[in-house]
Amino acid sequence: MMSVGILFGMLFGIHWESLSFHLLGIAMLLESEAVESFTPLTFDYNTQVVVVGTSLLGFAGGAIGVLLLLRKRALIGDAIAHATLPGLALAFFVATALQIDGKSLWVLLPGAAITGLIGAMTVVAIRTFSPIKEDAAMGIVLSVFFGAGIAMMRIIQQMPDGYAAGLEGFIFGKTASMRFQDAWLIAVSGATIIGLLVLFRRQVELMCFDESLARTQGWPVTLVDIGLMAATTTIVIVGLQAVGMILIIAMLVIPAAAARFWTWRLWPTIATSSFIGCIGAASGAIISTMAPRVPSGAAIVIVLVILFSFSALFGRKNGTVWRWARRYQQRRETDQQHLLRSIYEWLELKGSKPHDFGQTRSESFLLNDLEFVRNWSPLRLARTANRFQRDGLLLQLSQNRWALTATGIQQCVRAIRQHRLLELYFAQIANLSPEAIDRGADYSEHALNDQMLAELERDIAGASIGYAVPDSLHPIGNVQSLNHQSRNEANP
Amino acid sequence: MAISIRAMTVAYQRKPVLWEVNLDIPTGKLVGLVGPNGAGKSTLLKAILGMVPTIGGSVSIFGLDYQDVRSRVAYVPQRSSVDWDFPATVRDVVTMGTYGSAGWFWPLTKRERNRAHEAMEQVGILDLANRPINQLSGGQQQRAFLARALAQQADLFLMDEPFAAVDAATERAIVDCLRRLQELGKTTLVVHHDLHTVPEYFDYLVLLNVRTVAVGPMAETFTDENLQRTYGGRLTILDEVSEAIRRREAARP
Repeated sequence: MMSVGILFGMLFGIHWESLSFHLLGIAMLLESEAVESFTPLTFDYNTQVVVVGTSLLGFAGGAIGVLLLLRKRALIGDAIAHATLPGLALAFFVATALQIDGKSLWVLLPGAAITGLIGAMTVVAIRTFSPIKEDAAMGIVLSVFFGAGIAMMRIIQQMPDGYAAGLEGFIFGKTASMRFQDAWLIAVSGATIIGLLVLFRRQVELMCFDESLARTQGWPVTLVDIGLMAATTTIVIVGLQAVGMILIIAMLVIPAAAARFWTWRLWPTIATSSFIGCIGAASGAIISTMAPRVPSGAAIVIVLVILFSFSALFGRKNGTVWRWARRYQQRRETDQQHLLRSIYEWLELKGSKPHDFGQTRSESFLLNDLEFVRNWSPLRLARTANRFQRDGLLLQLSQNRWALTATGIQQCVRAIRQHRLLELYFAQIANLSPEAIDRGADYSEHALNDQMLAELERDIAGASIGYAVPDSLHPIGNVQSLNHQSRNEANP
Repeated sequence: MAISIRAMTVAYQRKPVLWEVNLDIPTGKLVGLVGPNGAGKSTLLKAILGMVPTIGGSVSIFGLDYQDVRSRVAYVPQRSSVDWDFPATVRDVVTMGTYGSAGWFWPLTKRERNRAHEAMEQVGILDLANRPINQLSGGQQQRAFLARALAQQADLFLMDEPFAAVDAATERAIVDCLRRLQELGKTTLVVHHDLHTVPEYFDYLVLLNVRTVAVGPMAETFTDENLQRTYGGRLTILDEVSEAIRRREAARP
């Protein structure tokens, strides 16, 4: 089965404009010879067809799910799914009365489709013709139809000869009860939907992003929309057996939601979502085939949720772990700049400011003293200082006494220059108050790049400053505890 | 005439939004569409494009029915009309402008890609081409929309508040772009809010407040009297009529 995954994985490397041909090719491959060429474990031919069929369903569900999510219509699939139950039961009654095989999909699925669509249309009708909003309408339709279905199922269960055996598979999903023809039906439906989506990719894209543009370009938006709903209904109906009506919504929503963590473009999102849906559906089907007592719907959802959690944590575009890592990195860099600046400010206060003209080691200072210019906990001070020592910026002379190395002096002067140039900029150009200046500079200096720095030097400092460090515009350190009149006098 | 509207009326739930609007816009003009809130400016654009149902009246564009000149008209909707969290890059969005002429199924050709490229260049967002649209500022979003319309290579542009809440650089880029379109002989109709810049940006003016108050070249139309008539006295009779209708409906058992 992994080879299916590898095949779909190859999709990520291809050029997206030619996606259509690859997708079609793979779909055709799966339909024709591929079934024989996969000989995994000890699955018989029937099982293989079931697994391939279910994966194609997952593939199509993942793709359609992205579109539903983008159109904010995802839950309509859930309404359709729940509304299929009375249809299944009714179809079973009718078939039994006519003495046809009541468990044939050709009898059950049309019944499911009819009430499913009636359910969806009821939601739309309630929303359009009454002041009730869509979510409430969905809640009403979903529960009423499902309740009616459950009542009918009870009646079927009480019919003689255990007729109902197998029908409950539609509620929770049971791939083990799937027959060869059922799997083919699923596979063909899935492949058809994927084919149509590839064919009408631009129309669908336009409709999902900006309907007004699609209309002004003359595309039949309403028809495309109906097509999307038809595809949703088809996936829900043919997926009933594999996933079950309660959980089929997971096939539409979870892969699509997970895919958003990996990419910021539409077709890669759809491909990723399809891939996730495919893996989820295939593994669920395999699990359920090997352990027939595990409902396949549950197995599929569990696999999907694992894939979703992985995406949410490690997704390249928005994954939590990367975001944390980025934030941690940023904080660390900010801390380092702050400490460097504090060291400079402290030494400046003491009248021995470091300079990078041949000075190889700055005056020493006590780490505790830095608390005066930067209000950090001793632990945070020590941690940052230790990191500096590792990087060769600081030198620990004794227990608490430190000094800047030559590299340290360089970086220190650079950090303070950036800060003070920005302060000058805010004072001269943006006309901020002195209190706001320090904060403004503090906030923006970490985003400065070399080019912006060069512009600052040219615009603000000009030739008058050269490479020197400008004086601070405000008193340094904790003014309440110590008085620094000299600084205040310089800047009335 | 680029646009010619006769006796067009549009109503939302019995409240008239546009009332017997008559309007002629000559080809090649840069037109400002100005009026107070609720004057029906956006609705007028949508009605021209057949996107809202009209109760009566007719629209002709370049002397023809809109359906027959569709490809010669580009529409720039309000920025807020789409979800900017949509997974797409700036290039993707701009390329969408070329879909109308790209046919149903076949992959896009170099021609479409070049058109998107040129459009981005013209509004100065080429360096943003590969940036996801959810990372754009408001002004950048607006420029992306403008580029999308340019990529359509239309002859008539309808823009709904392109200057709303954009930065100075974007405003300048849009104005430059509008001027260039006029030099190429294109017609542009722009919904605009800022009365200070109206005479500077446009050379033709439509003052709208449910009805067309005045239409004509800027110098003749942008007068205190016309502005007073547009913004000052509301069309009180219409207001009263719709209020009366509302009250009567509410009084029904």
